Amino acid sequence: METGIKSSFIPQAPVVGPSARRRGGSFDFLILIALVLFVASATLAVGVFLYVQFLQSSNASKLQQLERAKAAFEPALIQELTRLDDRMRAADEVLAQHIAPSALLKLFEQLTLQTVSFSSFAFTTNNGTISISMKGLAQSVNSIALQADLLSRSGVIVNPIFSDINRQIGGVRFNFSADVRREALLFRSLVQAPAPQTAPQNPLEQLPPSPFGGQPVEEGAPATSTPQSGDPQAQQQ
Amino acid sequence: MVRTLFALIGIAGAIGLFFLYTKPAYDSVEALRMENESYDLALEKAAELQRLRQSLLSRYNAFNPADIERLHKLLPDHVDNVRLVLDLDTLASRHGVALQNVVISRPNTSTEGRSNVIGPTQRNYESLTLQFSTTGTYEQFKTFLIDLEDSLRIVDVVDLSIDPLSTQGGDLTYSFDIILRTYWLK
Repeated sequence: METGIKSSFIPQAPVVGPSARRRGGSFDFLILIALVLFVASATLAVGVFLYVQFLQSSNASKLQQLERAKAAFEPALIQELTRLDDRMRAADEVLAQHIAPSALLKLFEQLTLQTVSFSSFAFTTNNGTISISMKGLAQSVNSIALQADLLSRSGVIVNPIFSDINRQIGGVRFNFSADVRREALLFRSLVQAPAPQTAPQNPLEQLPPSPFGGQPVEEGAPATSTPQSGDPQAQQQ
Repeated sequence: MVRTLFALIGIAGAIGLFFLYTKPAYDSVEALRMENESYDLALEKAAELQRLRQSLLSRYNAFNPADIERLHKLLPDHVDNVRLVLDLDTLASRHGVALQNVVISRPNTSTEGRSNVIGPTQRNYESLTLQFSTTGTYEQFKTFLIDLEDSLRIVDVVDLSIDPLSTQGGDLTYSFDIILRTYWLK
């Protein structure tokens, strides 16, 4: 007979199914995940914060070192050294191009035959090219030919041209033009090298010290040590 | 329910912290590291330049001050054309000739330059031309010309013409027209 009275005092708790326990475990796991993520993120943030501080202080320190290094350079001294360097380079360049036209005059003193004289001289430089032109008087056409040969063999005179050769009373007048080898007139090479010895090829053709103003003398006549005087206008005409 | 809420807040906080602070800060770390490396490089260069400076300074101190002074006279900072004319006149009078008709002009750089390249010049020095005429004997002029070529202040003969003038005391005198070019540092 069913009385409805429970025969057992043992409380009969509702059976908790395994699904409820499983739900509580997942909550713990979720919190664990959240905790781990948060701690990791916070640690990372702190690490990055500290690293940024370190880099910023390091950069500031290095910037100060650079400023000190810049001050130690002494900009005024650097400017002075730079200026001196510029000056030395420019001086070297200018000296390398410096020419000595007196060497050309000396060359003509040595190479001008006693039977030839020049009455005018023009020396021109243009973009590194040196050209000369002269008016002269020779005793004969042969003297001009010999003079042309001597000048050609000098190694300094390039493309010598004797023109307007005109036989007149007193001699043969001519115009002379040529280019000059620039290297032969460079001051630096002239200072460093000994003076060239250009002896006359023909012993009878002795050379006057000045190529200007002297009247041509007879071939074979003794050389004079000073330029001969004469009427320059007459020579030029 | 509360625990779930805390968990979600924690996850959201972690994600927010990462994207709102850590990631931008890390990006700035990259920039800072690059800046740091550039500073390191600059410091290395500075140390190298410091050694070079010391080397140059020791070489500079080895120069004779008189030589540096001569270099300044060879290529001055300014044209100082008045001083140049005075020096030339003194030199000429030493050889018994006198300067006449002195004309100073800047050369036309388009025709005077040593290169045919059109454009700004690479030279760090300037030049001007000085024209004058004088009279005298050939020997007088030749010694004057030699001294002119040897002078410390560099002058280049650009143009020279010699023409007979007259006879004085048995010596031929000539007129000499000469154009010189002188230089100074820019």
